[in-house]
Amino acid sequence: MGLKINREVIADGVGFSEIIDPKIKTSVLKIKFITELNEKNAQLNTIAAQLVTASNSRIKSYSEMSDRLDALYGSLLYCDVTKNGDCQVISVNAGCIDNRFAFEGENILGDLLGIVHDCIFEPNLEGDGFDSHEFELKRRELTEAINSEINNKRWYAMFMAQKHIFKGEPVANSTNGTMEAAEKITPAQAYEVYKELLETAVIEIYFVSSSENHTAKEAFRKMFSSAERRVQKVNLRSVSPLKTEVCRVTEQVAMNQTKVIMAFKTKCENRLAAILAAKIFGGTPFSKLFVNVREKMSLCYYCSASYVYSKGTMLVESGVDTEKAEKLMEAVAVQLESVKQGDFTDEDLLAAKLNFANGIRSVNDTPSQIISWYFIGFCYGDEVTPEEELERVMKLTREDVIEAAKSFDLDTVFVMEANDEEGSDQEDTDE
Amino acid sequence: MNKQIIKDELTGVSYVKIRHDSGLEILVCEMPGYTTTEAYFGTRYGSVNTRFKTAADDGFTVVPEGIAHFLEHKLFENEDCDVFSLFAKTGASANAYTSFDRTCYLFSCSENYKESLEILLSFVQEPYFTKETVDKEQGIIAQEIRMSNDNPGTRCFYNMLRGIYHEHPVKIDIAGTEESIRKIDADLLYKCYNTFYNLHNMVLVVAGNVKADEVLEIVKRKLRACEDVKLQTEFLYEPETVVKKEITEKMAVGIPIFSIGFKSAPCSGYEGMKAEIEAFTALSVITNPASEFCKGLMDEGLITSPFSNEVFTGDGYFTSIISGESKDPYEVRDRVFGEISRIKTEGLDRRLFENTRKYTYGLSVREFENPESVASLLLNSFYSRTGAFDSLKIIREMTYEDVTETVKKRFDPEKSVLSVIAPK
Repeated sequence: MGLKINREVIADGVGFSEIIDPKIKTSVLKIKFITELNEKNAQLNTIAAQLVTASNSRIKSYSEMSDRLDALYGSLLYCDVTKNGDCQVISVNAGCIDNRFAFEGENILGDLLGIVHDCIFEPNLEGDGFDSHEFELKRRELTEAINSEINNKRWYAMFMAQKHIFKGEPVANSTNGTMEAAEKITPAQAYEVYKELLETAVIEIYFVSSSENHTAKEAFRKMFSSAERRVQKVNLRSVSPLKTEVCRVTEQVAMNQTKVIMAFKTKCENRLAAILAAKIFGGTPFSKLFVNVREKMSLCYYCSASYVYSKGTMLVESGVDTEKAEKLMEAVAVQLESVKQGDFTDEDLLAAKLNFANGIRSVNDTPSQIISWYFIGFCYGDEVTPEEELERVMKLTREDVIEAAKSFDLDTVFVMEANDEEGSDQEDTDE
Repeated sequence: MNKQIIKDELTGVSYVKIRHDSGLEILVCEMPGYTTTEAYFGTRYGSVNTRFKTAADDGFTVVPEGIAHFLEHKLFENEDCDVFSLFAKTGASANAYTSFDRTCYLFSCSENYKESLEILLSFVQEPYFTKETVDKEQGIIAQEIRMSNDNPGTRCFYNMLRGIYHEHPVKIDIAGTEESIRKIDADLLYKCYNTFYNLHNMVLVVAGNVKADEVLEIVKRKLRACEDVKLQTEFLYEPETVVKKEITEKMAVGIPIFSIGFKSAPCSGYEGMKAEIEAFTALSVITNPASEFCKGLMDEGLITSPFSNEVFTGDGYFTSIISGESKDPYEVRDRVFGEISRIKTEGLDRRLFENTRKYTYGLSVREFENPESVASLLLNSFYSRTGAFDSLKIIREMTYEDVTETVKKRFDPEKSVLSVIAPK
């Protein structure tokens, strides 16, 4: 028996997808709350998600929660908060190994689902807000995360670039928010925002397990049947407008290697053709950027392109010596122009399709990929199977790809310049 | 050709282990129902192997730091084309990596695995280096080194190793330095290739949507028999002590990040894996967020998120590592020492130990989940000279006494190093 998928609307604005895959050895549950991304609530949503996955009305602290999850054979319970277009997606995730692997016949999945239920519907409260002690712990964690954003330079460059690429759009907001705001938020504000999320967010729940088990679905159906819902529709795709003049920003950071981010925008509606164009341009190790800018010109270790459909934006990123940044940007422009001019062979096109197909075909091999696949389909109102998507990709022509490539225009160039040749000072202490 | 079928009753997973006549070890795990095929072609050649000789050599050869990694880059280019362009025709996603103890070439595909396997076996056996191609690679790798040097986590880790090891080459950066890679030329690359890329020193792992018989048929056609060169590697004498107990570097970071490494005696094979699992369990108990010790650190704001743990072990090195972020890493280090001292006197918390054992076991079961993780498990079994299912057995049999003893034996503050990356 192969993979079985069944999606059902279990309450107003709440979808539940049950996926049975006999070959896996774990169960995975993901509850995705989708809401508008805005400066006012983004940070509160983030801290609320961290709080509800750290304790609940019965398991009163993160420490106790950690202990319970260890006892359930290292079961997972965590949140991730991401941006999808101009929306914020707050995902509560749980996972465990199958009961058949337990030492003493424990009901690992049953116990974990019980914990998740309490986390979502019976959070750890004190007065009119979240528990103040747990809130303080999470506030510290959040401020530390904001402080540490600079640590990963490649990520930080992209993070800073997006503030300029999407200036004035909701997606320009950080899901962690600012340090200043983090110092002012209260447990009551976070709980208010959480209640609003439960009431108004579009919710998609995914449950993947190795055998038929409707416990999770029925439990969530029951929970949401008594919940008051006034769902607020969200727009998961909002194409970012092209600036009238190319925005060029240079910022300096103490580091060794300069980072270059270039954003190209499009109004192209042919999603798959735009993805293929980005692959031929810079999305594979046989792309134009890799072969020419890295291998032939020896300018950098990485120079790649990726297409963000939800914003109609292609992002190119690279790391280079400061004095070679201009040369790199010129080379990137030359390579994009060559794709626009159709300077690629049928073999190149087929290679990009095969590369794309390779990823699509493997979707059913891991629970997290299965969930991502169907969630993305839901977001774009285009829920197709991997096989159906594959058929569409293979039908694309070189004209489709050239047309998509031609629609990309340069919008922003962000350079995070290394201002310290050494980048670091070392002190050794002998004892 | 020696062929064994090894099965684990608990997970139902089995794999075939073959000692091929060519000297190559072949590990194949057929995983019905999966679409993906994962393959690794690896050699026991990593950044630590800087001193070596074969039966044909009079003495040991010493090579520049980072040459194993450089060689990995260069093998991706053959005489006619870039290897990526060959994989582009099959749709496979190909890559390679070099670590301290290994160099591996790999692909992942959901179709045409036989064609991709032929490409993998061929290009690794067909080196092609010239002055021009070597010179060109210097620039690319120099940028890779610079990128890595901007990563505070990586810097913190390497600084810690430099504090721990006097002589063992595990203290050098896998990619070498911009200066060391300038000493590499085509002749040196061929010397290293001919020494380490010998099938007697290599492994082929394939897992997922694959048939063992088909793999063997391809191997038979593509492998070039080679003589065992009787490879010997050596490391200089490494004292039990550490070099420096504290190393601090300043970089553009938000708050200080740190690693505390505890040096202890290396071991290998099944005993090595047992020691590694026991040390990991000990680390997980010491830094368990449910412990009074960690609760105290969190309540005081000395740490805001859980520690991360790692047991870093290989040929001639064994270090148990606690890492994290803190406004005061020096105080955290002192508190960790205090907790270790308490455990040595009072013993581990039994409940925490039992829960941690279950946590470690859960992690191990998850490794059998998909072709990627199974291939990685099989590969690691080759490098650690163990069986792929040994970890499950060790965890099930691990006792409270074993782990308590490990804390006493492997967590000596006198043989520890604190590495800190502090804000500029």
